[in-house]
Amino acid sequence: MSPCNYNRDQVLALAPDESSRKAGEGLATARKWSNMGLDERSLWGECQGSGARPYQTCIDFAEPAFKCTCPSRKFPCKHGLGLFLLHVNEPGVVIAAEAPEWVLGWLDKRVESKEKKERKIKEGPQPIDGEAQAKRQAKRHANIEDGLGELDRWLCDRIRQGLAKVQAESYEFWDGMAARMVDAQAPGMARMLRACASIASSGENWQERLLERLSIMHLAIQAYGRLASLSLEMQSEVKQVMGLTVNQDDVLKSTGVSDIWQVMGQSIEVEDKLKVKRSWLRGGKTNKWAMVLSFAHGMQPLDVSLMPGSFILAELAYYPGVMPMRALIKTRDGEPLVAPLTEVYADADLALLDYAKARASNPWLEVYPFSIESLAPVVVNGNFYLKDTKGNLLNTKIDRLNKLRLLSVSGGRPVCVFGEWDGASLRPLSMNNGTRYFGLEAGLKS
Amino acid sequence: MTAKETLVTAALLGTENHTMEPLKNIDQASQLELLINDALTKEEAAPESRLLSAASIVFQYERAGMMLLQTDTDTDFEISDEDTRPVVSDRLSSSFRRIVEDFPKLKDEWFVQVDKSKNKLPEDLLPEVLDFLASSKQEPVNPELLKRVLGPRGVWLCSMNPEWKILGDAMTPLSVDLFDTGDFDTRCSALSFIREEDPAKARELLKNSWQENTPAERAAFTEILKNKLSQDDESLLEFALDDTRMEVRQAAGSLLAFLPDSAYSKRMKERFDKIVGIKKGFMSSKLEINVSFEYSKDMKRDGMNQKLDYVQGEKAGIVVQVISNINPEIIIKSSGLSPDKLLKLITESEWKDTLLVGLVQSSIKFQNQEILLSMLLSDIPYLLEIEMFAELESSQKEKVVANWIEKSNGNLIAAHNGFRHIECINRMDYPWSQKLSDKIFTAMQKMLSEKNNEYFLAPFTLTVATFADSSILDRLDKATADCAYLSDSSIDCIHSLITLRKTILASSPSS
Repeated sequence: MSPCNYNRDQVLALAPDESSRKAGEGLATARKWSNMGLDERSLWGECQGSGARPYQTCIDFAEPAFKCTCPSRKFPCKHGLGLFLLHVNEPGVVIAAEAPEWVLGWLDKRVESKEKKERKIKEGPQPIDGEAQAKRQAKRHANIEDGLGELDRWLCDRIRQGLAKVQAESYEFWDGMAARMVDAQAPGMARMLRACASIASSGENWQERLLERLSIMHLAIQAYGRLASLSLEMQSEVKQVMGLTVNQDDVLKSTGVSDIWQVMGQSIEVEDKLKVKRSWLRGGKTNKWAMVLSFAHGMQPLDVSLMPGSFILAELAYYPGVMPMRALIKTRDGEPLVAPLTEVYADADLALLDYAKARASNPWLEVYPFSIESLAPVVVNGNFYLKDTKGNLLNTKIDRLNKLRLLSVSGGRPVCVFGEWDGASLRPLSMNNGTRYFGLEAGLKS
Repeated sequence: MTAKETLVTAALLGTENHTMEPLKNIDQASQLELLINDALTKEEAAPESRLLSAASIVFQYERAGMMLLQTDTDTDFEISDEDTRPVVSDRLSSSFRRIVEDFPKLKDEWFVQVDKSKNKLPEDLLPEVLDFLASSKQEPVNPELLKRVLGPRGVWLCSMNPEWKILGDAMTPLSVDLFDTGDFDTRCSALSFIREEDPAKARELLKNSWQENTPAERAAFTEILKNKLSQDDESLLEFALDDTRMEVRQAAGSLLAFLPDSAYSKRMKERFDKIVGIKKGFMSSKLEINVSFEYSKDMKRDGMNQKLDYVQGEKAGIVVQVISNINPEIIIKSSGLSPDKLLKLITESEWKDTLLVGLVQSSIKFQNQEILLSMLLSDIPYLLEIEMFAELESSQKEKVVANWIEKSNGNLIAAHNGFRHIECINRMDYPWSQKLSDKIFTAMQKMLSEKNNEYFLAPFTLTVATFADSSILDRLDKATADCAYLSDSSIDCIHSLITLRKTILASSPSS
């Protein structure tokens, strides 16, 4: 990505918190900086802080990546953000120059580290102690089985006593059992349990939604109980439902799928202090969907290398499963190119047909990508829906501002909408009015 | 009860209270029911486990085979007209978020530059723009400019959301029915709309509903007649003067004062002539004040109070009310005095304070530029100086500010009433002329070099950076960068603002 491809909103999205954002804005002024320079790859400068020597700050445009000699534990620090913002706000203030030694040294190290990583992938994993690994796996399996046994009894107790009693329970009631699942090394079940806490107070038909969630957990417990009898793909799926991680090196080692992928949309969810960003990609030649996850804990920024709406030439490696969707980027090439959204389904019926197939093969499927050609915003009985050409009404999960954005972009006409379908409602993430791509949710426009 | 309802009911009540039986009529059962029954009759599993297994089948089935609601075309929104203009530059549109976050006062310049570009705003930005305008506590943007910038899409969007009344009620057609059936706010909006479209109709509606309206409604609805006020409204307003409630009579009187040929205006002028006389001498003239009057029923009917809280003495209060309800233009014309001369006579009178309060109020109410200018250029301190300044036209404001700068010898802050003058400058309309900007900048340079100005200096400098002509921006940036009396954070803030302004200005094609 060239330096010009970033705008202020994208740079600010990198800030770990509000105070860094403000502090970064404060440092986005040339008078704070000296020895600034810029080349195709990087941007650098020196900022006088409270110490005797100025902090040396450098940005690698490629990801982007930051380096600063300040002692801040936030990443990127205010200096990195300030310098980047200065360049974005006032193009021309930082002029092209030859990178100094300290910048070249850091960039070289990054190249070295990247090459090392690629070599490692090519070489394959280090020889492992098979016996020790089997022992560890068996221990974990036993741990999970114990935990799941306890969870199943607990779930049955809830059904025996009646869900009516559960409604009055506090968050701790669910969290206690969730903590037990974390101990049992089944964090996926812990996550599902924590989600139950809010269902009981979610209004009309809460009992239906809660029973659905509990029954899905029960199904996962049953499946894990007879793991050996399942296909390898289903085994992998069930393990991921339990929260068992798949080694990324193993994924990257698998055969990749090369295509020109469009970043259809992105959604961000926060669980405790963990931010999870889902980027949905669609292959132009293969017509495959892919979901790339990025995580950021606490102050860490989320990855911004996948720009919503852009096309990237990349090779993706899928995680194993009955209907592989989650993927990692093995390699990518060239500059991202922004273009209108790719339409996948002509109407909601066709999208639902695909969803039915996916759900039939993976009952734990939480969200599925829909990109429907012509959806018009409508209000029926006071509720906001998206209506397709056949008159089908799609329930939406959308906040006030995004609803108004959708309405504004559409002008009351049908537009192509991409979003996540959760089995009951669509969460629109981007749209296209025939001429331009508009990102929703994160508020980013490209 | 469906299979799902049966399962949910059993789960809600608990299996210890409610036995879950297999489904009946199994001979005609669907494939789903067969699967459910299969799960419910699994002998080796506990009843709760059986219920959960059956529920998982039902919910999977339901999710995978979801049937959507259907509707006809009647539910569609009215379609917006297309806006075929190209979209403004990314730099100009993205600078809007910075304005909202940090420098809301730059909004006028931003709107002007978007308008100059002759391009449209990106559609996804429109809701944020409308939200900002609806919640902004600042002066509204010129409606004509706003309509051009919003374009057909923005105007259409505005009509979709009742929270956005920024284009005025007249944008949304409101019917007579709403005036009859709506709540207070809706009735006000409906009457305003009708008044704009058909003044006589609004008058008729108000007259016909007079008795049914509460006093607060009568007063509020009467005030709405200010728009498109004409002599035709006199009879209704005279009728309103017979109302039993003072607030209604005051609302009516206040409007009648704007009709020079109304009986009310003539009554007020008669009262004025009886109270204020001019004794013309050979060398000079003087005002003679006659207060040999009593508070009368007629005065009460005309909405005058017997006493005013802010004026000492009953008679003084009545004098203030008489003067404040006469257009100063009438006084000037009938007395043959220039505004300066009239002001001079007032300041020499024993009734100076009372007369000034009345004249200030009337010149604000009638927005009399001559009197306002004359008063603000004089050395008399006014409590309502900021309100008086606000009613001046832009060119007059510049004259007044230039006068203040001259009189304070450049140091506005240190001058008597300096803080009020600074507040007035803070409220000046965008844009300032280059001439005034230069004058203010010259004065500012002086302030930047002097101690004891710190308290006002930073906010004032920020105002100058916000509104002054762009030709002084570089000089201002330089002058503030080295100022010892501004904090680092103030200098950074001013610099950021100047940078943002330059970005906005650079995005317009004219630059």
